[in-house]
Amino acid sequence: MPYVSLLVHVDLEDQLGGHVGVAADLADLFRARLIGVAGWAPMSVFLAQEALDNPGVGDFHLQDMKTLLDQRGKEFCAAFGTPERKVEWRSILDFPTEAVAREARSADLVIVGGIAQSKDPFRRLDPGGTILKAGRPVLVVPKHLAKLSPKRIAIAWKDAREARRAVCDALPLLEKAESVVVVEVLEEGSSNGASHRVKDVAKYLTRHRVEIITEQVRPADVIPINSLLRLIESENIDLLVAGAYGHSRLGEWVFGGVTRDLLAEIQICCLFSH
Amino acid sequence: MSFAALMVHFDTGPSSHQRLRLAVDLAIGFEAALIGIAGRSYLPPFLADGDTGGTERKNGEQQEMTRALAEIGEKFHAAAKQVTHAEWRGTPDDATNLIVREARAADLVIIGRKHGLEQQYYGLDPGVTIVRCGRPVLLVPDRIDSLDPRRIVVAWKDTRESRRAVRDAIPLLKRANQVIIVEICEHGAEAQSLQSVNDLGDYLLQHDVTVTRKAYLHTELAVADELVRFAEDERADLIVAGGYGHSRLGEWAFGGVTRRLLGESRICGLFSH
Repeated sequence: MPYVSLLVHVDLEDQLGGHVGVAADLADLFRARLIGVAGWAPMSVFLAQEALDNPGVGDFHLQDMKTLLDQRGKEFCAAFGTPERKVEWRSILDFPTEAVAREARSADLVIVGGIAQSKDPFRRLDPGGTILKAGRPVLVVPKHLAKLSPKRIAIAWKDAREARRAVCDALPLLEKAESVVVVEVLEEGSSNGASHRVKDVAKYLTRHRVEIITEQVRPADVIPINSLLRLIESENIDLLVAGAYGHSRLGEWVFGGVTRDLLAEIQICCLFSH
Repeated sequence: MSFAALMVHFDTGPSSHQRLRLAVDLAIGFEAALIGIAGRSYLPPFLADGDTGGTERKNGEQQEMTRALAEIGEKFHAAAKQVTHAEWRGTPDDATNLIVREARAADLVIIGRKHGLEQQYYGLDPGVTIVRCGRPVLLVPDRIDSLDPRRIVVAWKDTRESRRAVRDAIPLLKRANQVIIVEICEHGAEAQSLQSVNDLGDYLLQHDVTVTRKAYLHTELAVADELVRFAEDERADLIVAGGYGHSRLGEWAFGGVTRRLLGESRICGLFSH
């Protein structure tokens, strides 16, 4: 399914730009609408739902927060709205991770910045939490990047639900790519049939009119993501597509090692699906 | 993007031929490739006839299974003549494992309902397939041999699984005349429900799908019964729903609603996890 609606998390503190700029470029590439979302959770957790939906006159704190969020929205619309690009804004009095995951129902793809933006836990978005909750693919853009032209894409294949989802979810980007590499990094006990698996994925992509595809099977490194990082460097990859492996345990999100390391260390854009 | 490849489980079990006919029609309609698939696992020694020992039996059994699968493959190709790209994957392996694995090659997996013990070694487990295969699964009830999804009911709950299901179903939703969203809504959460259904309607509109009606189900008990009854009253051809499940001690436990829909509905269901 094409991308017709993108959703981007907008930080309250940083300069507009960075991943928001990437989102705007993608919106143009796919002629999609762009929804900006900012979240800020009130300190007290005991506020009634009505107060959140409609901050009363007496409640200065909430009013101020809402004003600030809306102000950010005006900046966002002014900076990124053009006659060709439809933009929309949503201010939400909640934790950004929750807000973005919830609003993601309106979009085909969610774009967020990498780890470590705001220091304020009430305004900080946790990319990992968003990925696991959104039910949509999430593009994580490292902090230093402000542009993405996804010409060379690598797919980190693993024969699991998450990677399959990621491949499907990334199809609109894969179709526009100049080259696609399907790579499986061998794990202990998974070497049987790895080349058959990546070929099968390549065949699936061919049926979706993805043209130039190569397949690779790489031996595992002591640190598993190193194989991937080396591939990214040697092949000049712009975008990595990967499954995000994780589950919720006692209310906490627990990630698989590779996913956690990728989130922490990767220097290029990465599309995750769960 | 539309469906470019469909996969159908085709074996000797009940209603297999009907299901294949449905899959062939869908593949032609979407100009998609069709992959037929069946698996056979070894019978455990206590069920096998005669001598149960040694590799001799295993080899003989393997040959027998390969032969049987090749035969089914011929039937598949005969029935799928009109499909431009038809492909057969018959492998001596447990059917559920096999389909879960091979589903990477398709956009939609078409399977039938779970049958009794006699099918245990050929049949497959729909629940496990849905939860593990990472693709939308179209579950076809027995004796149904065509799907022209003009009227589609979307069973909506604002969760990852439902979101997946809706997005996965877009190629079908685009062709429907009537798309009805049913929100399964808890008491006290009406405002949020309304918001999420409106957002969904708006999202689908961006994909050129017009939602013709929105309905709210307010029931705490037997949601599945209500859903099925609602869909039948609406004369729906297809129900789109999230497939809920979680692993408990290595087994896949299913959400009550999903289980009931899997077991009882006489309407085709599209499930995503």
